[in-house]
Amino acid sequence: MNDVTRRGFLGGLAGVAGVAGLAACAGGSTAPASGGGGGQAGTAGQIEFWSNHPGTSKPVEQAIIKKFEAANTGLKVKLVDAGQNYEEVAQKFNAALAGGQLPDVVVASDVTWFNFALNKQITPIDDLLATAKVDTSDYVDALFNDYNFSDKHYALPYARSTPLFYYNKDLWKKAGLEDRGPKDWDEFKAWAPKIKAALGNGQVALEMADGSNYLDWYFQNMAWTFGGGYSKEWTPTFSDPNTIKAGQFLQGLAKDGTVKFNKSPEADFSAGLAACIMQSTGSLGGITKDAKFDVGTAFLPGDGNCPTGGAGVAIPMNISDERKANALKFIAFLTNAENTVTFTQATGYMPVRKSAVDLPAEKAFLEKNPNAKTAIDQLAKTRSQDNARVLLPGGGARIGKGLDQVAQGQDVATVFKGLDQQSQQVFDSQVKSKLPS
Amino acid sequence: MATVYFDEATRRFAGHDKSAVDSITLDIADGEFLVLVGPSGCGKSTTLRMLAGLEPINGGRILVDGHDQQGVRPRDRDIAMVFQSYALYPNMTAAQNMAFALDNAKVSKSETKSRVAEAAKILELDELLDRKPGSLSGGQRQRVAMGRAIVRNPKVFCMDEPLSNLDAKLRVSTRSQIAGLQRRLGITTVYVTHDQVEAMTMGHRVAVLRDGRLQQVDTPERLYDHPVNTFVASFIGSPSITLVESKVEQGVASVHGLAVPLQRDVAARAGGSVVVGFRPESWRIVGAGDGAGDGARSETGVESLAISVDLVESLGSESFVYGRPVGAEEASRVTVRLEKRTHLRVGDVVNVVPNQGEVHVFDASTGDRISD
Amino acid sequence: MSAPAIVGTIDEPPTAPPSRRERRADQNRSESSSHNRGPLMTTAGYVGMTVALLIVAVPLFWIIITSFKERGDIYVRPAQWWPNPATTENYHDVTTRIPFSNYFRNSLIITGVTSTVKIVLGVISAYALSLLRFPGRGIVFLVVIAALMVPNQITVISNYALVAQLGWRNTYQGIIIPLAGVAFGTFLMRNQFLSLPGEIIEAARLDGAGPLKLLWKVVLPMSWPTLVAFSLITVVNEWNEYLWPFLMSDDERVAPLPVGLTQLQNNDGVTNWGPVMAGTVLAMVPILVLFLVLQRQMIKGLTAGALKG
Repeated sequence: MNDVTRRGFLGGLAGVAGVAGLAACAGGSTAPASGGGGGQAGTAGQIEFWSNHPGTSKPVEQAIIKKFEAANTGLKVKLVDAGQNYEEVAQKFNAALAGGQLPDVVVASDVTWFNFALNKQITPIDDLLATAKVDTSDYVDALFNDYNFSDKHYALPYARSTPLFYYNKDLWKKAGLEDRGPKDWDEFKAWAPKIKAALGNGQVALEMADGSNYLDWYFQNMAWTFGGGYSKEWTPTFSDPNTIKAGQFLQGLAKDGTVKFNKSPEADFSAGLAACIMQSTGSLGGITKDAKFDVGTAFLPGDGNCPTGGAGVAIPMNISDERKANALKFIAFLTNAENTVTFTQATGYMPVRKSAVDLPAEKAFLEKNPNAKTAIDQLAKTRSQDNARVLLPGGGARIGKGLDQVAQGQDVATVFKGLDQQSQQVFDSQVKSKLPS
Repeated sequence: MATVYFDEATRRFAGHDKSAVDSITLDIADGEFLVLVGPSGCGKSTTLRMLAGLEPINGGRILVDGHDQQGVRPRDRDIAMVFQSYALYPNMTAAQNMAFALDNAKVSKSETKSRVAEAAKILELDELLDRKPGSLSGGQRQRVAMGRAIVRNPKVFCMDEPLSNLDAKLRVSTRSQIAGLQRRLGITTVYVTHDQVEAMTMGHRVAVLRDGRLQQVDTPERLYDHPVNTFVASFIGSPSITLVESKVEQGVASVHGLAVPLQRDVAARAGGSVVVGFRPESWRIVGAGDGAGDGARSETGVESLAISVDLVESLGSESFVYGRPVGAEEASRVTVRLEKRTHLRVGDVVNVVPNQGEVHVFDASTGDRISD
Repeated sequence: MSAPAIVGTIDEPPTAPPSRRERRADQNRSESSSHNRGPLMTTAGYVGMTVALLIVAVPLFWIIITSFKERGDIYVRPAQWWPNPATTENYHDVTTRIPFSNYFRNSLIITGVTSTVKIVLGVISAYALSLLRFPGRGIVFLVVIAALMVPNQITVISNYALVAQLGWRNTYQGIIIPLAGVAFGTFLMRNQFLSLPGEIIEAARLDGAGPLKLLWKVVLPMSWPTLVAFSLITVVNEWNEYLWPFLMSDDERVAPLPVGLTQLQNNDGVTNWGPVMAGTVLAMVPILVLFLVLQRQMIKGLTAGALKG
């Protein structure tokens, strides 16, 4: 009894430390990984899977779990509603890190996983994969390598998405454009007057999410297309002339009214208010259902400059080896070719296995859904995101805020210089010392 | 029914040097109606609350029926209190208000009912028993508060200015009701008021307090006729007594030049100066040629006092004339009571002389009474 | 008993205070005279009221009509101000796509128990801190106030650790007990009790009321409006509580409505807002009913008898 209360008290203290991290950024914690003492507990043979059911995928997840349990007698998976978005899962996981009772598997997004890895809160899985003889070469390389940090992988890709260029075919026709997306941003600029001429009252040529809704994700494509980027390895490159040029391009589109920023561009697009948008592949199903016109999809402008996104599944560090092995068995099953097809067909995410597209079920599906095919074809042209956005704590929000300022007409060079400095500062103070030398 | 004895009871509030109630000793007989009176802040309410157990005692003791009340909780003292605000329970009907204490004391339902009914009858509340305080008039509430005390048939009634929230007319009628009720029930009662008329009309005895100290306890008549000091003399009586500081020469005090001969033993106790007090009714008017003759002078001074009238109050059955001595306009006012009406007007000059033997003499420095 | 002659019959005629309707009529009269500022001001007043009403009512109205719209009609331009065609499909969706009745039951249990515990604890602790004398009372109150100052986010993690140690994750007691702390209620009710006229409390003490009777029969009836307001705030807060139940619950066995309804939203894609709105409407109903019931009580309490005339 005495012991329990003392440990509870210590756990609480550690929790207080963890909260500072929580408050600073929902995605990461600066608490030491040793926070919770009770993490080792857990029922033998039970795998606790903390998921936010990305893309309202709870029924699919349950179906896959059923199959897993049938194939692995003695193992049970407990599916836990761990939040409504990736930030909430991270928050709940942080609480468990501080307070005990860790899950076996947790969903971690492209911006949350790295903090957990950096603080040794999720386990590297390469050895476990080798032991379980999982063929990692079948994973789409760009997606698998997103979780690579100092030569170790920390998660398996699960609910992965890329942005997609959506356009209103009816409006395209009216504007006299070919039935395809623009090759690059220059071509789009050339098209803009024609699109605008075809627009009705209250309609806009292009809509993009604002800075608090992942504009930083979509803009990455623009920056890359112009030859710039957010960073090279750990060095921020916002002040690179090409990045600045991209910023000025965005500002120009905003100034002449070609682009409008919005909380949820997909809603306006579905309502026919925007001629085209950049939006996650995850929205494909919803947009197709909501729109009362013919929806076209295309690669993002600029060849090979498509960022990836979404979430993977990771295994906590401080659980027993036996639990880790069971957990890995489960996530490998969850992301095998057959299941990734089941999952992605139900949600609109990308299959994470190369062999997935050869399965008859997927072939039939893509035949029926050419738009989904666009997304999968684009997978080959994806590029891993820049560290300054996904790996630096608070990176996405920081860049989003800067881009909002640019959109509102502030001097691009000044704003980007500020981003350089801030990113460098965060790296120096929060990341640098934890990197292996 | 009980006797109450204050034995040098003292109350000091934290952070104050002076005691709010300073060593009060007071012996109240069984069935007596004792009134505590004094100006506001004199400690009379505190004294009452000490008896009820609502204020702790910092020195001395309070005995009820010979039992020390130290440490006895208010609810165990069997003392009923009527508050200035009545303190009725707003959520209960008049009947429930009265029955509350009996209910707490586990008195049977039927007994409670009959006692409430009896009290309601006495106080003429029969028709109002189902009303809540919010829909009762001030006088009705006051009677419910009385009823709440009566039904308990307690050892002692404590009443803290129960009439001060009533209008003047109602106050007079209720005054007699309470006094009559107390007489009938014969319950020892301690009654606090700042109104000396209430004190004089209601109490068997009246205790006058000033600054936490007991000045005098006496029957109303004794208080009026033999105040122990100038404070009691001026507090009791309306309009108040006229007090004049006077020089004494050869056993005669000179009041604005009027010669007031002192009795020999009084003169012996007096120093060079005294305070002489005249009740309004102790004066009579003398015509210019009456009595001692016009402006006749004795060896020590004039034998009548000429005053210039500056206020006349005519109440019908009596009149009060206020004026200042001629030639001493800075001096304090002299009040003279006249039977019936008067023809005097403001600005008139009238000669008055004091009645023999109705003069109060006090020591000029201590204010204590010198005359008998 | 013979009717005593001593007790006079003189009293002012029992003038009952004017009935409420009369009073209101009086107010109206005085208002109309004092507000006699010409049609311009009157119009401005009505415009102001209308604007205020719209600000409050339009979002609510939008939620309700959206809950009856078909999916394709939610995002259209120009906006549809009346569902056409109207459908109850969204409500059907809410109750079938997620285990709505489970979430609803959990919300009722958690809100009911937590609110009851909070209100009872708040009242009795405030009572002790305001009307009972005991050594260290001031210190205890200071501690309570200090507890009020600690931000929720700080206690969440230490509570999590404690509850996890006890093995109470994903249980009702794990959610309810840490939520039942009452610094706010203690503070509010203590101030209410201190504002009561001291003489009534003293009268009750002299009348022999014990501590519990004093609280139940005298103090609480006089504090009814504050108690009702406090209860209402507590219930609404508990009903909407999200963070803690979210951290503690793993599935529909104990998760309350606010956590459950998020299952309807698509975190990475397009949310179908129809069912979300329908769920919101369903979640509002119990609180709305409670409010209407308690509001009547509150007015009753406010108009109950005053101390003196």
